[in-house]
Amino acid sequence: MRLTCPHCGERDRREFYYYGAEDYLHRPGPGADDAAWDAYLHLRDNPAGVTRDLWYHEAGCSAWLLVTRNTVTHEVLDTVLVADHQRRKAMPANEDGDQREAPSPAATPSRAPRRKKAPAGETPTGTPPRRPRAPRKPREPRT
Amino acid sequence: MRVEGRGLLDRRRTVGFRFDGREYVGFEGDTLASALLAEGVRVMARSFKYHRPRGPLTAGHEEPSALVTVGQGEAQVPNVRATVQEIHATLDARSQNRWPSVRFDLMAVNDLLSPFFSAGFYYKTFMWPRRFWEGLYEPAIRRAAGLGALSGRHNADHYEKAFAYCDVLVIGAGPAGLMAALTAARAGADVILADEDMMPGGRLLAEVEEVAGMPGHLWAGETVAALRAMPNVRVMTRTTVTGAYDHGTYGALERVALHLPDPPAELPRECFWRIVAKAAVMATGAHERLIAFPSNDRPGIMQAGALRAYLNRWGVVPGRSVALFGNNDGIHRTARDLVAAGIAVVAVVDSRPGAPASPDYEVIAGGTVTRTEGRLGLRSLTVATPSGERRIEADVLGVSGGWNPALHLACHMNGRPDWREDIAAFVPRPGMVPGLFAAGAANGTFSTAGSLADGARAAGEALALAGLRSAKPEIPKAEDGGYSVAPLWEVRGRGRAWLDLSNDVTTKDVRLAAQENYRSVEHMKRYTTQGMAPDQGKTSNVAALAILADATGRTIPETGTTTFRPPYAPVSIAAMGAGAQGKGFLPQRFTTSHKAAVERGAPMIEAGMWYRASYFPRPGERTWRESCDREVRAVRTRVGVADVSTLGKIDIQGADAPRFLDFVYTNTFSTLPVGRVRYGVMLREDGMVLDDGTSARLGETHYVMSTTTAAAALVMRHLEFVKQAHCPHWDVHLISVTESWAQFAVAGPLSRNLLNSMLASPVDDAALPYMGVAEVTLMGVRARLFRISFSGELGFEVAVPSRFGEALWRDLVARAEALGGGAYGMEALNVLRIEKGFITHAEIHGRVTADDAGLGGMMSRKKDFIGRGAAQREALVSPDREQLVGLRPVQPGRDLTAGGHLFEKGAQPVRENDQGYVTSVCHSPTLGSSLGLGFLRRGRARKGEIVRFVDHLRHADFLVEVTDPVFFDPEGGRARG
Repeated sequence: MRLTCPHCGERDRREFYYYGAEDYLHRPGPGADDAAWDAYLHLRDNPAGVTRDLWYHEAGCSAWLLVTRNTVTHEVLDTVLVADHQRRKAMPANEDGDQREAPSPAATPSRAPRRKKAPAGETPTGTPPRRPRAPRKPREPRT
Repeated sequence: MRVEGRGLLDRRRTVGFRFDGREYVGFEGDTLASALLAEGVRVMARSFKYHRPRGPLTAGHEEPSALVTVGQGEAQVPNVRATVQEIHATLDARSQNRWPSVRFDLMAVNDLLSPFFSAGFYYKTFMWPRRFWEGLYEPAIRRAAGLGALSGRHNADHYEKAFAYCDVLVIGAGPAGLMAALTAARAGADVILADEDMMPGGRLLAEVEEVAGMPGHLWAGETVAALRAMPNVRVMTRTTVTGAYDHGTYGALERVALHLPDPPAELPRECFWRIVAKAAVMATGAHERLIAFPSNDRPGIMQAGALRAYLNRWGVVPGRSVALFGNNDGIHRTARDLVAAGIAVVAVVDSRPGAPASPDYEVIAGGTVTRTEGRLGLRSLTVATPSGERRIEADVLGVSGGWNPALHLACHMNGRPDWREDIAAFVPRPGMVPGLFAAGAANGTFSTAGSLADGARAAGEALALAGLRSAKPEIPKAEDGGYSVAPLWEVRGRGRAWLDLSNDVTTKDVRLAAQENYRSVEHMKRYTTQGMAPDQGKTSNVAALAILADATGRTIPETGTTTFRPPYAPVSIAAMGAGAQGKGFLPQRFTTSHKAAVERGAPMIEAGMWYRASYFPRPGERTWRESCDREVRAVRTRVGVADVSTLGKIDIQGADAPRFLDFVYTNTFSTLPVGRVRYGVMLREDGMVLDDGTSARLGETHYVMSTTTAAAALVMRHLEFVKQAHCPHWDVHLISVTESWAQFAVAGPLSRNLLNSMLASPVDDAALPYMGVAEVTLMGVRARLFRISFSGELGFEVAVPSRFGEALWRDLVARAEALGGGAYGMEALNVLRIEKGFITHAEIHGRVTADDAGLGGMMSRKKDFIGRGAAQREALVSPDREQLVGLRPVQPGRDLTAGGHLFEKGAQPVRENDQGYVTSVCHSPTLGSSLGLGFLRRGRARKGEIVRFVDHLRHADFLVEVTDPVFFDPEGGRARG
């Protein structure tokens, strides 16, 4: 299996560490209840199809990657830097309406516990699929 | 016997070799099978279950029967196919699975008892008495059957693994593969052409036919020479592509030295390749299949195509009078080749009623072979003809039931092939492996002209994927005959008819499976073991499922195939794991004091990949305990020096570094003054302790964090995730500096004296208070000096750039010894920390919360941090949890062992009464007692209680007192002194 790191180019899978589903990116905010934490830590969809998961380029540039791939066909559809992906999320205003300050971590609103069964007709993840962005053109691999 | 004027071998190059203790002679390029057949040796093996005499069924890599053992001692390799092993001057091969000899094998009694040994017999017999199964029946059955044996000795041979990259990988160098490689190479692609044989050419080496107006094998030779001359082509012979994996990765096994009489030591025996290709062409050819008729497994019975290969490539015929039986024109082609070579063809039995007659040999149209005779080699066969039964004397029988495309690679990603009725065979379906294009016989195109054109076509598709275009290639003229086959899977008659010769599976076994309701092809396979031998059913799969289809009233496509999985051919584990034997298994990480420690005779222990000194024995000390006790006393009363470089060190800088540390630790680091160090606990997001360590603030926006040795990489990965996923806007940067700094603990009442003798400016308690850090100059080198203590004594850790490490170590140890102390190792380090109740990953083992470890007070209530949310879950804050305690045997002289469990004094030591367990133990010379740390339910409230310690594994059972985990100097005054 090969993954294309946006920094390093196409590399063998064994340079990467697999962490788990992208759900780890949506950390419950302060004050979230037990159910929210349980969902965040333990409840996962298991799609036969497109999934998005988190890989760490531990034998390369240490970048965390969000990889969109198909668990049935094994195609890798998209690879983006987690940091870029997270930065692109909307920055919420603080009490003074001031948008300049960077948000505290886990500023994404705590998610309701995910129900496991996707209703018929929806994508396997139960949510409308995000249109994958065109992969960033990899820079020349370092020699 | 060897035939004059036939074959492609240079008969001037003779090669001597041994088989079953006897010397034989062949020619260079002979396989063991061809050379033995030339010398009249027909019995080469005994079958797996029934110990029936067997010779080679094939001339190629799909051989199921002629398996031999090659080599002696550690170099012994079992189950080598005699049709693949090339002869060489030091080849020493012998038959397997027989005693005393292959021609007279006592275990052939199994064949007489065969009615009791049908498929799955061990599910129905050998059941009583139950205990006899493990002790008697199973070992006896195991000894009675089988193939070769391992030597049981350590294999010290050299193997290699390698990686290659190309635009187009062409698998197979027959007509289709050669044409594909030529087309791709001329279009400018980087091409790798791999073939399992010792020479490229495929079937062109076995057939009498012309390509481009010259003999096929000469055309193949010229084409390969042209390819070898091109700089963008790599030709790999003796290389079997064993598997198709994701994203264009293919595994391949190259036999590098197995054919050499005296290979140089540095040459690997085999090399396992991982080849990454943008596109690939599967030109793997086809395997001829048998027909199942009674006693179709005798030595001398082989594929009709194999007879042609032996005759035309090796100049060998396995007997004097040949009969042929089949359902397609291949048997006639074989007969013509034999007649042209002057070999007697006694009959061609063609099952098709409309079979063509011939002036050169007798054709029995509409006939089938119903029986054969000849135990140690075919003597005669019985043929059922439209006009009655006939007995024909022959010592060779060539059989052809048709051809099966070798499509395994295309199915390695869980694809199932399509059935083509016109050739009565399975063919690959395009797209099953993305980027792999089948061509030639592997694609169901059996004529040479068709294969050449198909190879060029497939190359075009491969080139398109690789982003290249090819010019329209010129296809050379070649044989373009049709292929007409009338399916015939079995002939019913008296006696067993073999399907899988390698595992001794007959048609009766398959029918039995169906009868017992193992109707699915996957069940039939496991129940009968058909297709599960080293040949993976290459010559039997399709026939077996045809029998199953018939037995279950389904069509062949309805019955389907089993799942094809890599590897396509056996791969030695040594090749796949090349480089990982012995020291190659794990990288070795050495500290800067390693050399000095080894010089002192310190035994080195592995801590992950690091090597650390266990203790430093002195002359006169006979046990490790003596050394350890002395080292502990030295630290407590004088001064000791230990290498702690292996602990993780992470440099953290940036404007947001303070709040980043607040986020990853349970306690607060943004309030830490510059120049101070603080102990911190880090949780996983599920509330369990991840790691602990000290972090020092070197500047407003600069910290250096320490982690435990074992968790260094884990913590680094965790911090990177927190930073990139949760704090992507923050100005904080991390880098691991574990190997950049050599760090040594200097601990004991005289530690400050020792260091002050080396510092440019001596430090006192005010200049460097407890839990402080300072940049100092030590022997002219800029260093970091931390006042922290893992021993509980007045202690420091001094860090210098690694290049000074060895020199500093030697100097520190010399000065410590001058002060009456010295170096100390891991054993003493462990005793010192247990005496002080300091925890390591023995305690924080992944199911322990901060509160369990007595560190609940470190969880800040004022900020969010990783793990805070989940740590508040009800079960994690329950007072009934197992809490860290100290343990001390009531009776002196008793020794606690880690892993033992704790029970109430009067309770039965069974699982239901379990109260806790012991994690770390030591003998404490300071307190003169065995000490332990462990976890006990509601432990903090039970100090002073006497509980029962039981180690069920090591048979220990005695009373212990529950104490505070800090056994020594509970006020902590010694470190602050």
